[in-house]
Amino acid sequence: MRPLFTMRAALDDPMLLGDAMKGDSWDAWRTLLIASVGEELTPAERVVFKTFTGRDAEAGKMLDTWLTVAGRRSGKTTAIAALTVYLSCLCDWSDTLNLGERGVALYLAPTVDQASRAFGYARGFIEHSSLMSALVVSRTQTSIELSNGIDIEIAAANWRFVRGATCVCCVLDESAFLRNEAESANRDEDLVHRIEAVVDHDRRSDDPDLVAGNRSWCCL
Amino acid sequence: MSVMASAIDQPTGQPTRRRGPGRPFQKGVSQSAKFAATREKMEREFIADLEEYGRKVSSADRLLVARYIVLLRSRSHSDTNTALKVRESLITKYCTNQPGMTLEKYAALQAAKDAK
Repeated sequence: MRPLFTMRAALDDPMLLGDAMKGDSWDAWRTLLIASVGEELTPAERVVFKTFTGRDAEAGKMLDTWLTVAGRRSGKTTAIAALTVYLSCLCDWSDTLNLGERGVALYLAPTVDQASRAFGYARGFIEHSSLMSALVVSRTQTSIELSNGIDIEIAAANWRFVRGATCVCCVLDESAFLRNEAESANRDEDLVHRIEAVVDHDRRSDDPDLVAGNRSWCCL
Repeated sequence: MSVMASAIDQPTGQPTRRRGPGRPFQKGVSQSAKFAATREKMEREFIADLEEYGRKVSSADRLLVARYIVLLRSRSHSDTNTALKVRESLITKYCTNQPGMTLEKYAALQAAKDAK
């Protein structure tokens, strides 16, 4: 995976994601997003990063898993939509995908309706930017096909249907409302194991360059 | 003594304002020429900013830029507002929705800009 822009530049540029999170109130999310893709933070941003994560410094590499525990209207869906759009539109995945293979940025939630709400943010960000909307080949109510080999899709969170996709990232929205009863046919644990399998299959490779974890999944 | 004269002669307690020696501007230097040079510098800078995204500014729009600079330097609030609207339309025309601009080209432009 090769980023075409840094996350910091993309969030500052109105031609890209600059209008996605306008204003000072988004500074904390902006800091977390910059750190999440492995970019270096400024000393002031590191203080914010420590406040929210409890860690002294950013990892310096792209995260594997991002778990967000936050209240309503805290901006988690918007921020993660910005991350999804960054990974799917502003990064080049051609070196990771085989000929004919398409990468998927997958939105999952307990129901398709919930997933489509989160997906709407990502669609809005892409349509707002003339550069990113030029990548759109086709769109349906549940997917956007991009010319760079990536599809952004939504689905109901069911572990049986996650298998098979090559995910560049996976967002599990409203995960607190997934089934966790032991006898449930669609347990959250099973789902998480499946997601880890579809986003992390590179890490099982023997190639040390692929161990860095280029793909990520987020749980809101 | 007239009433007016006696009123003028009254001590007010304020220090009297004196005209300083010399002129407010340097003698022999045309202020019009200086202002024109500043306007031209502003025009060049603005045109360079617009052309940074790869499109050449047309001659008609160069005249519009000249007008924008004049309006921007005006004391009238109305002129300043008009200037800002002109600026917005020029930026919309040259810095967004550029025909033929792709994400890869834009990334290359930004990378070249960062390298400078």
